[in-house]
Amino acid sequence: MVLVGLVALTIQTTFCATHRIDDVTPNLMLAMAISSGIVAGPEAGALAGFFFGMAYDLTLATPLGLSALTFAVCAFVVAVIKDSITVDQAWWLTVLLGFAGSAFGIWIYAIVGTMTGRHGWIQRGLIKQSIVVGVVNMVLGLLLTKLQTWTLCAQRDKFKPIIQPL
Amino acid sequence: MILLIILTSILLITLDERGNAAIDGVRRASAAVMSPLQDVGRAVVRPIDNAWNGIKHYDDLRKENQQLRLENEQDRGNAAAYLSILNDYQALLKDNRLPWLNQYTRIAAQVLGPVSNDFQQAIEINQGRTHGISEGMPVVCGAGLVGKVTKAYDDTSVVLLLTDANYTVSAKVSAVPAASATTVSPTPSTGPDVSAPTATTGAPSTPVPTTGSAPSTTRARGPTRPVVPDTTTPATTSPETTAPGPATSTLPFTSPATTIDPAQLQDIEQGGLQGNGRSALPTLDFISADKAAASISVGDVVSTSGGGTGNGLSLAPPGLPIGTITKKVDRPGVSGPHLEVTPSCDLAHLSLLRVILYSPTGG
Repeated sequence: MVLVGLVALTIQTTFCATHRIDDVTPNLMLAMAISSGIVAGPEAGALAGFFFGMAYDLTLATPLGLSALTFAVCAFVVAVIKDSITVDQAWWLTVLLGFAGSAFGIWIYAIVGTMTGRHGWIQRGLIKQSIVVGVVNMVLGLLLTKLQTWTLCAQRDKFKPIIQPL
Repeated sequence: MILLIILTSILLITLDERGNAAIDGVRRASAAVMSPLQDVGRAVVRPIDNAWNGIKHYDDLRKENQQLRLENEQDRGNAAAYLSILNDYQALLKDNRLPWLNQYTRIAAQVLGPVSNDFQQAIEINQGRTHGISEGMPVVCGAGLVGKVTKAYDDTSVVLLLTDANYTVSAKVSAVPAASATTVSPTPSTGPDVSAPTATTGAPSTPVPTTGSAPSTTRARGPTRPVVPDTTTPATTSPETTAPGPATSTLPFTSPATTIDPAQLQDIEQGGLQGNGRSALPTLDFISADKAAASISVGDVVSTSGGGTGNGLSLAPPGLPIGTITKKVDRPGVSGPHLEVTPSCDLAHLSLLRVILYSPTGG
């Protein structure tokens, strides 16, 4: 997962930073977190989201922990919603959750950032940003869930000793 | 589990906001780890970018090139005139023991790319602590202020752009009167006593203005694109030996659009410039409404005012051009006018910058 995370972070900070879609930066790390939640369930998804967010925070000038908190909560909520839906392994569910989870994540990030004292994060452009990021992650979700299935499921046994006592 | 993660995240946010050496160390270590990976990433992406941009933007680039060539020709014609004015001004500041721009060392830096986050208007540059850069230092391009260093790692730094909503700087407005067609008189009738020196103490640094718009003879206001003195290498000698060229007491040109009658120079208003995010221009609000504020108009030049005391010390030296006023909204009561400022620099296409090694306490 570390290797996959590093590769994703490199792509995020190089390719995604310079290739904006309608002046909005794609958020690959958020997509990774949401895919983790869809694939691995609430607890493991939240943990994976926390680490993806933490890695992302280390490359930004925003407070450390902001993306970690947002991605963890996002992954957790998406996983809980998925678990509550009885339709199993439907591709449209992954797509829908990818869109909704990403839009939710962008808004949570802006709200938490504003609570930590940042100005101007909640504004009209946030609607466009959440839609664009949602659409991109919706498309990426199908591929990333396959990737995360391989990444996290291979280490699912390693997560159990950490998660079960909690 | 989720509760633990949430509490841990909140703890980290709190510690980082208050400043924590361990977290700073982790950031530096991660920057050191990510730097080579990002270099590889950029090296892989660059040919694809170049090929794509070559196909998609060739016509636009050709038109822009032609336009820039024309502007460059006009700018070269005015460069000598602006340089003379600038040298005189800097010499006057130095003689009156006021902060002058050429006393500060500048480190050239290349823009690596934007920060991959839409909530912050910031870029990454390829210079860091090993070159003397620290957090808070102002960053300029050829046309003026770009922003300030917000994070400084060993070999890279993050620069917060002045359009970011969390960026503020104290600024002043220079209300430039209408240009006259007469030669400027040698002795200004207002302002401080100026006895121009006639000899230099050492080799002149010959700052070269890098940008500026061609002033139009039909425009009512004076030139609106200020020029930043650009030393090509950091000063390695004392400030005394990097003094600008010999100051003259007369301006040698009579170009109608570039002569200013000092008698008409108006009082300077000061206020706080605040960024408003990517979708809105930075705004300038005055500390207090003054009768002189009525004279401020669209087209006036905004520059850093420096100064301040204690926690209000400005992080930028005075005199750095910021931009020009493009919209003025008068407000009732004592609020003073609300001014929108268009930055001099094209913040969407930054390439080569300079970090000014300026510290408000150390000078």
